[in-house]
Amino acid sequence: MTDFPLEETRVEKPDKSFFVPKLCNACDHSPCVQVCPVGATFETPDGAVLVDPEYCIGCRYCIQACPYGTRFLNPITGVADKCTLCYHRIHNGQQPACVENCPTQARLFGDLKDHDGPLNQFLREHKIQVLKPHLNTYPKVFYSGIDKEVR
Amino acid sequence: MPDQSHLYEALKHVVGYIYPNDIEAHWSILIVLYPYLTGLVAGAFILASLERVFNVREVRPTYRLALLTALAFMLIAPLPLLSHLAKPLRFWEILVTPHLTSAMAMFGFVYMWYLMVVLLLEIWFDYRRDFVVWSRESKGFKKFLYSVLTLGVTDISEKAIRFDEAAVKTITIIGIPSAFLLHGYVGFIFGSIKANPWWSSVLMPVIFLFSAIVSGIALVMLIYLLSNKIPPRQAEHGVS
Repeated sequence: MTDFPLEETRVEKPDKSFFVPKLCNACDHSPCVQVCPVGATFETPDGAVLVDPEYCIGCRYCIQACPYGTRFLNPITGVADKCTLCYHRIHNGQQPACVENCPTQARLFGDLKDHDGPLNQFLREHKIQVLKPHLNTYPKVFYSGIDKEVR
Repeated sequence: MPDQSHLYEALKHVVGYIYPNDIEAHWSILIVLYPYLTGLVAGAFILASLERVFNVREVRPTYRLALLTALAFMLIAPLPLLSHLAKPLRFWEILVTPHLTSAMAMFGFVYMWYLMVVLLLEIWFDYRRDFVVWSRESKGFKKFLYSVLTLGVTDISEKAIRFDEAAVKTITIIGIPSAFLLHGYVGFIFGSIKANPWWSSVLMPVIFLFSAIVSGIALVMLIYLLSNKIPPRQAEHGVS
């Protein structure tokens, strides 16, 4: 690994670059929920996808199945883990930590089922894309004004 | 907390950003080993069925050896999976509360079908007459063991033997599609992962099956060659 000639690797200069924060896309048809052999990964009634750490057997099938690469094996608990959308916070009426901390307020969080709510209003008024739409995962994370080259 | 220092070593070589799961990019060598083992099972069984169903006389001496090879590798096939689990003690949850949309959970049923209905039943019918004979000839623990293995069916009249042979043939005919199901399903476990473009192909079960047939037959050939080097056992595989 250390002998790998990194200096000689040709790095092409990109014409254009993007900053795309990647997080669990909270898919409506989640591949990770589908493949979990014991049902330890589940979708809550309000749409978040969570892992039951008491039930996960650590087979890592979900890590392979997630198209967004957002699952990992937690080295401390030894089971699969993922972004919980700060489930403990949003159930106390708070915003997820990433939304609250973002200094430019680039992230919005809201209730997708609330048709006239601020989130749905934003989705209607902006050009919205999801990541990897061809996989039919129907993500509930939307990107505004993103280029179609972003995967 | 387990030692993570090797990860920091790897991080020095990372250019740009990484995904959270990049330390789990590979599903580890144990996951490679497991389809290899079930492939040997399916291939060995297909070699055995060549003799029983398709009457290929040339492979007749390998019939029992192929069946026993299939059984031996079938029994250890789940071991790599088990030792790969981060929580191996929870493995029974797959069997007790399987998630029906998961290809991995349904494989438990395919595996049990193949092991219990096809392999064990066929081997028992094939060996039943021998078990009866051996239980009469041997003494002590061996006698007890063979008597238990006959499951109390000690009738070795010509009619009973004919029934055994018919049963073996029927099970083999069921067994060929079952062997295809067993290993084709392993291909499906990988082929259904759409996130990995190198896996997500409908051809995966076919690729797995053909490699299984080749590797399974090669394994039986190798074991047959090696076992024939042991002089007193030379004729044993021919008995059937």
